[in-house]
Amino acid sequence: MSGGGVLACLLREALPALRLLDLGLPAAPLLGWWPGALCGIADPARLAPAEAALLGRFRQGAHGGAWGGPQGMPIFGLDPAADAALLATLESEAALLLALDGVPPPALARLLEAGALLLRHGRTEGLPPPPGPERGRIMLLVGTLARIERWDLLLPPDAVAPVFTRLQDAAHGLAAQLGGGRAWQVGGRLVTGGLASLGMLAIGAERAPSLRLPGATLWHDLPAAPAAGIEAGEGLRLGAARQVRLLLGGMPARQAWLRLRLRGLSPTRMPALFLDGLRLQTQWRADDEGSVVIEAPARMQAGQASLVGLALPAEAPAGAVLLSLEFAA
Amino acid sequence: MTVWTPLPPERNGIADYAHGLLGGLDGHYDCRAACDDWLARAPEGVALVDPALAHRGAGPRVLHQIGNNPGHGFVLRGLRRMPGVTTLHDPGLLYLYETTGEPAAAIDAGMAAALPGLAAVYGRHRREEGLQSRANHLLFDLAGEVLARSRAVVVHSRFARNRLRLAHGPAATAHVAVIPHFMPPGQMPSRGAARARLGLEQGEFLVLTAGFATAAKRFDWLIAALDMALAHGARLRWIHAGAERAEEYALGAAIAERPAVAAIARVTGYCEETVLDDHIAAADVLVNLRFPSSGESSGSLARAFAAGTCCIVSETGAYAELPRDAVLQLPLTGTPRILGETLRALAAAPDRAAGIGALGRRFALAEMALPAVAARYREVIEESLDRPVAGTALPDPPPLLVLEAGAGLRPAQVAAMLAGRQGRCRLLLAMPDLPGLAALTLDRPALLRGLLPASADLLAMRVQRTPRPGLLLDLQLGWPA
Repeated sequence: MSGGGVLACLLREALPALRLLDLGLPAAPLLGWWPGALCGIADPARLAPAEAALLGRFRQGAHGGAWGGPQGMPIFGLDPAADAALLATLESEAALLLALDGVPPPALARLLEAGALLLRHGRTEGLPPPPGPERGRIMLLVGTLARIERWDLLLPPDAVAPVFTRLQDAAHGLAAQLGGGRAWQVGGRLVTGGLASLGMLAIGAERAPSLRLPGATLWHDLPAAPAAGIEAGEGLRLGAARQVRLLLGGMPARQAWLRLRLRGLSPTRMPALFLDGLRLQTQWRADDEGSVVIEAPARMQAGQASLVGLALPAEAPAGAVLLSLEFAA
Repeated sequence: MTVWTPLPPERNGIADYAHGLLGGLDGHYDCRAACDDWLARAPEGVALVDPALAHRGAGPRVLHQIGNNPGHGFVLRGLRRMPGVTTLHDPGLLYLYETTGEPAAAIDAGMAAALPGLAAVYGRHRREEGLQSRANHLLFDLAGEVLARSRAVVVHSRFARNRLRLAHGPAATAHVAVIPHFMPPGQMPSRGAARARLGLEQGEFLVLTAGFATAAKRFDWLIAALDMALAHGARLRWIHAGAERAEEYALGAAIAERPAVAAIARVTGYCEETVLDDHIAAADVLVNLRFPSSGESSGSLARAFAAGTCCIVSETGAYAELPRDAVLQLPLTGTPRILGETLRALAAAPDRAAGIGALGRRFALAEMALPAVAARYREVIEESLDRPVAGTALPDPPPLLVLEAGAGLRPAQVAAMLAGRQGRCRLLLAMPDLPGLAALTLDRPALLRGLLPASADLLAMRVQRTPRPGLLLDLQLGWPA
């Protein structure tokens, strides 16, 4: 599912007030491109115990709760008590999007009955409708001409036309930023009042928007939930931790540069960078703002959420701040 | 193959062992090492992998290196998720369980599995009085879980295998194989070069001990023996190449009590591998006493064999299995006197020590060479691939109990709520609001200590805002006190 980045960018541009709960783990294809998004597992019983233990480590970054939800939330689906707390909060959320691959779990029925939008991977025609009010559908086609991914956005019928228009505008804008008509084929139409389709497909090689995430929005496994204070800005304070894992979500399976910008490092005690548990060959440079950029070429794996690791030597000073994470071609 | 293990620079012998073994196994398998220190040193060509992600892309071949200290907690947790062959360097494991946050009920059950009668008494002392003695660590091995969850278990001596068999029975230990400790693969330094680097005179007789100074290594016997030998005119020097753990055994203080010994003794502190090798190669005698022994093996002994240094050991445990012409074995009774006489005699005739060292090296070359050990590991790993292990599925979420708490919350209410339950559960002390909870905890210091029965272990707690405000306790319940 390499089109998650494009899809997330279109939806955020068209529906900026929307809050996302990406239930696509262990892949979570939209999560990385949607800062502040919640994430979870639609069917935790199918998860291998070791993968469940891994995902159970993560908490939402300090700015994840900026929209009013609980801070430091764990991944949905792994802790019944925390799930109940999150659902209680989300019930009052005005504009909520649930993204998943498969049937919505029964626990989400009340959210769907309350009118949450649903983004499902694959075709939805012929499937039982989700609980709640009648919904229209916008078929979204992303990926490449050679490998098309289909997603269906289920939303109130009277919202189909205006949302389609905004998504189409967003697609043309994004395509213009990423190579224009030579790189993208964009098209769509409003079929009926309650049905539309929109495609944004890369011509030739797969393409994805660049990604730059503030440290404070990242899902992490630091032992205590760090606050994002004035001194940390948008950063994630590492405190005394010597190593931290960051959950990115599903990334396009291709070569890219992974860059982390940090403050508070010693030039003689540089950290090491890891992707999916394996060490990367890193280089570093100081930037003009007094921070340090650690970067490495990395190849993401398809079909599973990518995890970035950062390990500081034992002698490195405490109190480093992870300012941002960047994923760029 | 994924090898779960600590690695250097972690300061324990198993990390050094695993580093060497990985080098030997590299000829048989494409190895990667799962180590919780992401910056640890693995042999060239062996990738380090974060243990939390080791399950991704893992094949069926898995090897775990487990010893009895908290540095192996991540290996024990890895074994539960990725069963494979386990090298049990110390069958004890009680200290590992105690220091890595394992539930008290699991420790109680492990103790009971090994020695049911004694576990009832010692377990009650531990639970109710917080009483733990050295006897606990000698009597109770807690290897049951490792035996059940491993496809095969490797130990380094017949003593260790027999001990496991006696405690856990033949059926549970049918898959235990003995593979001897290996000699370090590299070339040991020459005696002369090592002495020159350490600033030692070529002619002086050097007695060496190595590793962490623990009570079981019987420094009390050695110090008495040295004092005796010096009193009878022996000319020698003693170096302890290792760190002192005063809380375990106050080595420096014990040396200071004997001025004659203090005059010829030096404690180096922890030694890196190359410095340790220099000390072992420079020594005339390596003294490696042990009592009591739980079957542990010794990395410094293997290094001494490789260097051709004469070894003096206690005739117990795994050491008793060494050939009598390869080492000097001392009985456990009257050790200080016999050791004193032995050291005096060898100091007077250093060639005799060198001769014993040469025989020890010949034995080790035949029985402890790394390629032979690695080939034996391969046999055990391949033969074990289809062997089933105990279930590893994660348990269901523990049940949630809700107790309406208020200012008058009493222990009896909690006890009634928990009555008849065992194992994990969560207890929500539900309050009308969080200020009420704050007031309750301020008014009653040590609230939980007073509320929870002795049979309940508090694993974790957190303040919960929604869906109901209160204090959420994660508990492990044992049997009624």
